[in-house]
Amino acid sequence: MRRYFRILKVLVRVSFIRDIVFRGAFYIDLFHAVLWLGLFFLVIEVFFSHTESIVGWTKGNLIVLLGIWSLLDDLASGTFWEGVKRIPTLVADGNMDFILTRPVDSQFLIAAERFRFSRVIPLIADIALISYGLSIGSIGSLWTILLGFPIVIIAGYLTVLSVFYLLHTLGFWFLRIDNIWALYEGIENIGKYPLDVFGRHIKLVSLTVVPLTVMFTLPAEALVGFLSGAEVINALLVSALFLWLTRKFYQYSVRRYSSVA
Amino acid sequence: MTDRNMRKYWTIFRVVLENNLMYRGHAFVWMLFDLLWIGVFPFIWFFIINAQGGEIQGWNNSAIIVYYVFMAVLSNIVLMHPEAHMAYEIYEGKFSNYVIKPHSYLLYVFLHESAYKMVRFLAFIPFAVPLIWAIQHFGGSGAVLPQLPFIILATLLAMPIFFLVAAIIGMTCFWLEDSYAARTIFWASSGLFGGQYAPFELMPPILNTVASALPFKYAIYFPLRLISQQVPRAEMLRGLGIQLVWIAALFVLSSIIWKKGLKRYSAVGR
Repeated sequence: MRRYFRILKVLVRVSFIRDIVFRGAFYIDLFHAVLWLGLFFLVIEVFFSHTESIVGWTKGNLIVLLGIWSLLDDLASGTFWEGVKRIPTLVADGNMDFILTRPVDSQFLIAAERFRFSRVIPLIADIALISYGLSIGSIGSLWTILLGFPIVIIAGYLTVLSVFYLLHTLGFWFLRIDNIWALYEGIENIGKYPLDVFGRHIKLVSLTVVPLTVMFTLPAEALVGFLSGAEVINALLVSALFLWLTRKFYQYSVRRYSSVA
Repeated sequence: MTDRNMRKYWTIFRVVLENNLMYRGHAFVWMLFDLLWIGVFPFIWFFIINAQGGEIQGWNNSAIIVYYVFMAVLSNIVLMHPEAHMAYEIYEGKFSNYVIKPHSYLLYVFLHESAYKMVRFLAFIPFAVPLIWAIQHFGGSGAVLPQLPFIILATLLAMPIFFLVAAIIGMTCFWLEDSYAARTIFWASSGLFGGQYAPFELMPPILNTVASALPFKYAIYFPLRLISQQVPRAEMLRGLGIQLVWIAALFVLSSIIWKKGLKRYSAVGR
């Protein structure tokens, strides 16, 4: 464990140096994050120019949900996104061999390969957005926020990591799907709106098979006061299950992998 | 165009089509993306429209479902995105290969994108069945069938408008080392000012005013409006006229940018 922590420190330092050297990319990434957040905020304003609530979610609640969605998106983009996104290209080019032959767990190495410090400022903007949403909407009890929220936000982050990793592990099985991140983004984009609009059956799917509710909705519910104890347990179970699935599928894929180099 | 030229471009199209059919996963993923990211909007608007008594500014559930279903069709079949590919080739210097070849680069890119769209259309067909069911379930769009010739024409005219704007964005890489910011602005603008988040009647009037001065409204929103609602003939003709004006203006602009960009272009080691 200490060895992996030392490796992680080195990788973080290298990523930081790279971000300082390539400042143009830093500012572009920052601009990208802020522009999209502003656009999605505008879309919420458009919805609420016609209604006071959407399936029980007020404007403030929805702004909190958007803030949570953006927070997890920025956390993902700032940590494992760039590394895991490379899996299909690494497999297609044959460069996966250089990762697999290193005396380190390859799944860890891929995920920790590239951090993006350009996402720190958008994270601050996300927290500001969440605070604004809470100030104009409902706010949960102190116990829900102090106990429930940390559990479900960590479960949400781990589920995001798992789903993203699972999709990209398909790069071992299908060639030239270097755009698989777009499929994740398509699914992820649904998660910034209340999934109750789809009805009960889809909501059930979003709690289990495609765990959008666990990823984004439950952390928002914890802050605005909609979270139940059963949902906390569900979040823990689903995130643990997806982490396990991701690990097993990756290991199985590596065992079946034959280099193209 | 001479017979030899036509054979040349047909070969380009065929080779790209074969390549995309071989590696069809790429097209399948983008097809799913275009379906998924708009998937939630009809449901949200259903809720809002029902809460407002069944109609807002002429938009009811039937019109909204047709709007978004055909947005999925438009995204998968008509709207081309050559900007990232062009920017990559210019940035990497691979563009040099095309400059020395005896064919038009823009036409090559257009054929490249057309072949890709054909593969995406094939991937889209299985999803068309539930989408057609959804349209029929919510009341269909039979009322707009008399407008069908205008719908087809508007959709055909939308293709070059969006292609030329995207190509111009791709050409910014002649000046910018990394055109990612320009592409991000393009994607955000086309979504907002193209009516991809909501029809303009449901958005603040200021957005409609700004959108009227940009080409995206006539590349995306205008065909969708014709297919979702009954539109007065004068408005249809006016819209088609504006589409033609945009095509001409963008063609001239892209030619100017192309000539200026070529003068600037240099590639190391190629």
